[in-house]
Amino acid sequence: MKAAADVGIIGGGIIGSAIGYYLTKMGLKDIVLFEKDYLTSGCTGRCGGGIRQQWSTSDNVKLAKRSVELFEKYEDELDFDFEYIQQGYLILAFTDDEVRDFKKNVAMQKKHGLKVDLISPRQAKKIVPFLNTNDVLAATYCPTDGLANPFLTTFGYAERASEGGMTILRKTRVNSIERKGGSYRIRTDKGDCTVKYIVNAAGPWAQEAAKMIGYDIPVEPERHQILVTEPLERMVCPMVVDFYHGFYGSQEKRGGFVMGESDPSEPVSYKTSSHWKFVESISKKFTYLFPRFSNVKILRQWAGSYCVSPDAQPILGPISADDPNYFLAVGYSGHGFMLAPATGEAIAEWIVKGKPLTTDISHLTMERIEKGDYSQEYNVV
Amino acid sequence: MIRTDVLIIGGGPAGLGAAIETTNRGLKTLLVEENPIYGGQLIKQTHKFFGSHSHFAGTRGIYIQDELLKEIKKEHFSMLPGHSAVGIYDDGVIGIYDSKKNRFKKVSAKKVIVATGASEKTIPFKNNDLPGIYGAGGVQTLMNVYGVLPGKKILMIGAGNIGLIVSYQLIQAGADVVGIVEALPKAGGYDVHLAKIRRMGVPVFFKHTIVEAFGQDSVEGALIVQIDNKWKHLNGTQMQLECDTICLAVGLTPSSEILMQTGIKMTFSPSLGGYVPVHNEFMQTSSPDYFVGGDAAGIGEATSAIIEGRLAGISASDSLGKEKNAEKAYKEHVDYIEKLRDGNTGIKVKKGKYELWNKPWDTSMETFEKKDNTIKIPKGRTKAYVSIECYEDIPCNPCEISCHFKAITVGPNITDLPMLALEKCTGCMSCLAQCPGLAIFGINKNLAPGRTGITIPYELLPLPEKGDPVWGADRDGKIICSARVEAVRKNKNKTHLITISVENEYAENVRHFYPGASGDVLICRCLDITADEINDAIDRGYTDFEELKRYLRVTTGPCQGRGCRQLIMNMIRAKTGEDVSSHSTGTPRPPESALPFSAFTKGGGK
Ligand SMILES: Cc1cc2nc3c(=O)[nH]c(=O)nc-3n(C[C@H](O)[C@H](O)[C@H](O)COP(=O)(O)OP(=O)(O)OC[C@H]3O[C@@H](n4cnc5c(N)ncnc54)[C@H](O)[C@@H]3O)c2cc1C
Ligand SMILES: Cc1cc2nc3c(=O)[nH]c(=O)nc-3n(C[C@H](O)[C@H](O)[C@H](O)COP(=O)(O)OP(=O)(O)OC[C@H]3O[C@@H](n4cnc5c(N)ncnc54)[C@H](O)[C@@H]3O)c2cc1C
Repeated sequence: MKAAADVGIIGGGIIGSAIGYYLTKMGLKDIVLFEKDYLTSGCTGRCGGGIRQQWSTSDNVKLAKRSVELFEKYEDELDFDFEYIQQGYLILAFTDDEVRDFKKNVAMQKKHGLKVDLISPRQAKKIVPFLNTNDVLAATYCPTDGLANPFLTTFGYAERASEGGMTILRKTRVNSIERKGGSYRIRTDKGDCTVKYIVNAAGPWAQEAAKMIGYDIPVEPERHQILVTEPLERMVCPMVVDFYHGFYGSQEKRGGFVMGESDPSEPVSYKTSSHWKFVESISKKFTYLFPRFSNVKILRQWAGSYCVSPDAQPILGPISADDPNYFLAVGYSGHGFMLAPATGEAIAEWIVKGKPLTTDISHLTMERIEKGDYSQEYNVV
Repeated sequence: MIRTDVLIIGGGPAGLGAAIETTNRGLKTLLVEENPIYGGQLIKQTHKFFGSHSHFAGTRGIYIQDELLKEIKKEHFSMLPGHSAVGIYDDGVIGIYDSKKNRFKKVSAKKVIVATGASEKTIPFKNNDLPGIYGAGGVQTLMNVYGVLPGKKILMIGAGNIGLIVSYQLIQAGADVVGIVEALPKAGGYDVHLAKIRRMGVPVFFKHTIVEAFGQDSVEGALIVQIDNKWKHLNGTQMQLECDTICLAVGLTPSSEILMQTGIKMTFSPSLGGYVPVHNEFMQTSSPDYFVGGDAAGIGEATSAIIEGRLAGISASDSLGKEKNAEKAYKEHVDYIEKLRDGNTGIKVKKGKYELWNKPWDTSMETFEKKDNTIKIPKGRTKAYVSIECYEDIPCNPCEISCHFKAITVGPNITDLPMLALEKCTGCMSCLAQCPGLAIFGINKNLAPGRTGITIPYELLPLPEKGDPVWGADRDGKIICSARVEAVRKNKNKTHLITISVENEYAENVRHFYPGASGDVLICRCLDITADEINDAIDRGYTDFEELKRYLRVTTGPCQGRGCRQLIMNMIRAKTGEDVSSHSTGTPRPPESALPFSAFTKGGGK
C-alpha cells in the first residue's frame, strides 16, 4: 500500500468514484480510493438508476440540473455506454394538496430554467397510453429526466480515474483514522496510508467513518426495496412517480421494468434482505397504475440501504471548521446516483480550487444541520 | 464381348473380398465399379472400424480397401472403374456402361458375384425437395471424397450409426451440427458413437421427427415435433431449428435390383433392411451362376461384408471346381461371421439370415449376458489408469491387442465387454488411441495437488498446445469447468491424446474439452454472453465476480447464475491466478423463478 497520498476517498460507490474522477480530471493524481468490498458493493449496487430534476428544494433542482448537463456528455467523456436514456419523469397528483404543491414546485423549477409542465390527466395518458389515470388529478412532466445504469457509470468513472492516476484498493476496509499534524493517517486491514484530505463517501456507513475522527453526523441507513421484471419490448415510458401511494417505476434500456416503493414504517437498519410484503404491496400498486401489465413476470426483487439525512438533501463539504480537510459527501437520501456528477464536481473543486465554483452548495453543508436551518425535501420515494 | 471366369459387380468391401478368393484360386476375375474410385462405402469412412483386430479393426475405413487390394492376385485380376452394370440379359450377358466414354459394353462371365451395396432410404416431409437436403451418404461423399462441406449448420435426421458417425465427421470438418432428430426413444447406433457426439455438445431430440423444411431458395430451418410411440405428433411440441442443411440418415436398404432382372428368388426381410436375394450360408442365390454378398444381401457392417464377399468368392470358385477343401474354407469364415453377429446390433442380421436359411431360431439367442465391467478405483491409487467406458456388446477388440501389459481382456467372444485388470494397468494409455469408439480415457489423480489429469482421445483440428486454457465439458458437452492442456501426444493413426488437468471434483465428469480461444461459446446462456466478452471484461480489470456481474450482467437472467456462476469463477481464477473462492458470487433473489404480478395481487388483504 502507498504510504502517503494527497487524497484518501472512503467508499467505492457512485459518489466516491465521481469525486475521484473529477479530482483526476482537475489534475490531481495522488489519490487512493478505499473500498471495503468491491466497487458498487453498497447502495450503488442496488440502485434503480433514475435521474430526476423535479425536486421541491432549489438546491436539489440545481444539483440535478447540473448533473443532467454532465450526464448528457458522459458517453463520449467517459467513453462508456452507460445506458443513458432521457425518456422523462411523469409525477402524478392524486389529491388537491398535491396539485397545489406541484404548482408551486413547477414554478420554482421553471425559475431555474427547467423545462417542466403541469399537465392534465388526458395529457398524461397521451404520454403513457397504458397508464390508469382514472383517479389522477394532474401531473408534472419533464422530458429531460431519465435513467441510466449506475453500475456502468461507476465503472466508467473508476476506469477513467485509474487512468488519471487514482489507486483503487478493493477489499480494503478503513478501520480507523488518526490525526497526524495537519494530515490523517488512515488505518486499513491491509496497511496504513497518510493523506492530506479525506473524503467520506461511505454511503450508508458514513456515520461510522465520521465517528473515526470523533464526529456524530445525523445520517441513518434505511432499507428500500426494488424489483425488476422480465425484459419487455421497449415502449419509451417515462419514469412514473406516485408519491401518494409511494411508487416509482420505469422501463430500463434493456427492457425490464424497474420499480420500487417507499415504506414509511421501515425502521433504521443496515438490513438489505427482501420481504414478501414488498412484492405483494408493489404488485397491487403497479397493477393498479398499469392494469394491462398484470401478467408481466417479476424476475427478481432485492433491497439496498439509503443513507438518509434529516432534510433528505445531501450533506456536503468539510465535516467541521476544526477538520477543514475531512470532507463529507453523504446523506443522499435515495437520490445519490442522479446527484453524483454535480456533487462530485463540486467536492473536487472544493479540494483542488479551494471552493466549489460551478454549483453553489453553500446551503448543503453541516452548518445548516447544526443550526437547524434547512428546507425539507418532500419529493422523495 | 469381354470374357471372364468371374464378374464381380461392385468394388466395396464385399466385392474386393470376393476378388481376393477368386484371383487367389487362379480364376480370371473382372470387377466393375460404378464410381471412379474403389472401396464402396469405405472411401468415405474416415473413422476407425470396429471388429476383430485380425480383420482391420481399429483401421480407418479409408485405408481398408488398400489392405484388401494388396491381397488380390493381380495377374488374374482386372478392374473397370467408372463402369456400371446396367443389365443382365436372358442369354446371361451382362451389359456394362462406361460413363466416361459413354459406351455400352458386353461381358460374358461363367459366374457373377453381386456386391452392389445399399441405397439410402428417405422419409417424407413438407418441402423435402428444397436445395440443402441431402442423404447422409451424399454428405459423406461431398465432404470426405471431394472435400466440400455441404453447409455450416446441419440438422441430422436419424441417430443410427450412420447419423451419429456423419455428425461426428461434420463436426471434424468444421460444421455446426445443430441437433440430431431421432424418432425412437434411444439411439439405434452404438452408445460410444452417441457418446462421442454428445460430449461435443450436440443435442439429440429423441422421440422427435421432422415435419417440414423451410426456406426461400434453400433450407433455412426445419420444424420438428415430438411424437408418441404410435408416431402421432404431439400438439404444442413443435420446435423450429435454424439450419442450412438437412442430412437424412434414416437407414439403408439393400440394393440388388440388377439381380432381379435374372428372375432369381427375392424375399422381403425387415431384419435385413428390405428386399434381398434369397441366398444360402455360402452366399449362393437361387441360381448356381449368381452369388451375392455384403449390404446387397442384407444391411450389415464392413467386416461382415468382406467375409460374405470372401464366402461368395469361395462359392463361385467351388462351383467352377477350383476349391479342393471347400468345407474347411467355408467353416473359418462362417464361424467368424456368426461370432461377429453376436451382439445387440448384429443379432438382427443374424436373425434375418437364419430365417432365410430356415435355421431354427430361439428368442433366447437375442438376449446376451453382459459382464459388468465397471471397476472400483481404490482410494489410494496414485498411478494413472484408464477408464473404459464401453458398456455395449460391440464386436471389437483392438483395446485388448493394444495393451502391452495384458491389462485388458475381451476374450474369444469379440462381442464381450473389455475387462480391465487395474493392477496390471500402468497408465501408459496406448489403448486410448486404438479404441475405435474413442471410449477409453486416461485418469491421473496425481498430476498436481488438487488436480486430476484426464487424457482424451481427440480427432479434431487444430490441436491445442500445452499450456492452453480450455473448457472442460461433461458427457453432454456442457462446459462445467475450466481446464488446462498439460500434454499433447500425437499419433500416426490421427487419434491424438490430449491430457488436460481439472480440479479433482470435476474428474469424474469431464470427458471433452473446447478450445478456450474460440471464445464465442456462450457462458451466460440467459443473456447470450460469450466467453470472449467475459475474458475481455476480466482483462479490463473486472476480476471481482460482483463487479463483473454488474459490468456484463452475467447471472442476472432468469436462471440467476445456476448455469454459469461456477464457470465464471473458474474463468476469473484461470486468468488472474488468484484464489477467488472467498469472493461473493452474488445472492440469488426471490422469486426463484419468474412470477407474474397477478400471482401477488390475488391474495387477500388490502
Ligand atoms: C432500491 C434503491 C433504489 C434507488 N434508486 C435511485 C434512483 O433511482 N436514483 C438515484 O439517484 N438514486 C437511487 N438510489 C440511491 C442511490 O443508490 C444512492 O444514493 C447512491 O448509490 C449512494 O452512493 P454512495 O457512493 O454514496 O454510497 P454507496 O454506493 O453505498 O457506496 C459507499 C461505499 O463505501 C464503502 N465503505 C463504507 N464504509 C467503508 C469503510 N470503512 N472502508 C472502506 N469502504 C467503506 C461501501 O462498501 C460502499 O461500497 C436508490 C437506492 C436504493 C437502495
Ligand atoms: C456412415 C457409415 C459408417 C459406417 N461405419 C462402419 C463401421 O464403423 N464399421 C463397419 O464395419 N461398417 C461400417 N459401415 C458399413 C459398411 O461401410 C458397409 O456395410 C459396407 O461398406 C458394405 O460393403 P459392400 O461392399 O456390401 O457395399 P458398398 O461398400 O456399398 O459397396 C458397393 C459398391 O458397389 C457399387 N455399385 C453399386 N451398384 C453398381 C452397379 N450396378 N455397377 C457397378 N457398381 C455398382 C457402388 O458404387 C459401391 O462402390 C458404415 C456405413 C456407413 C454408411
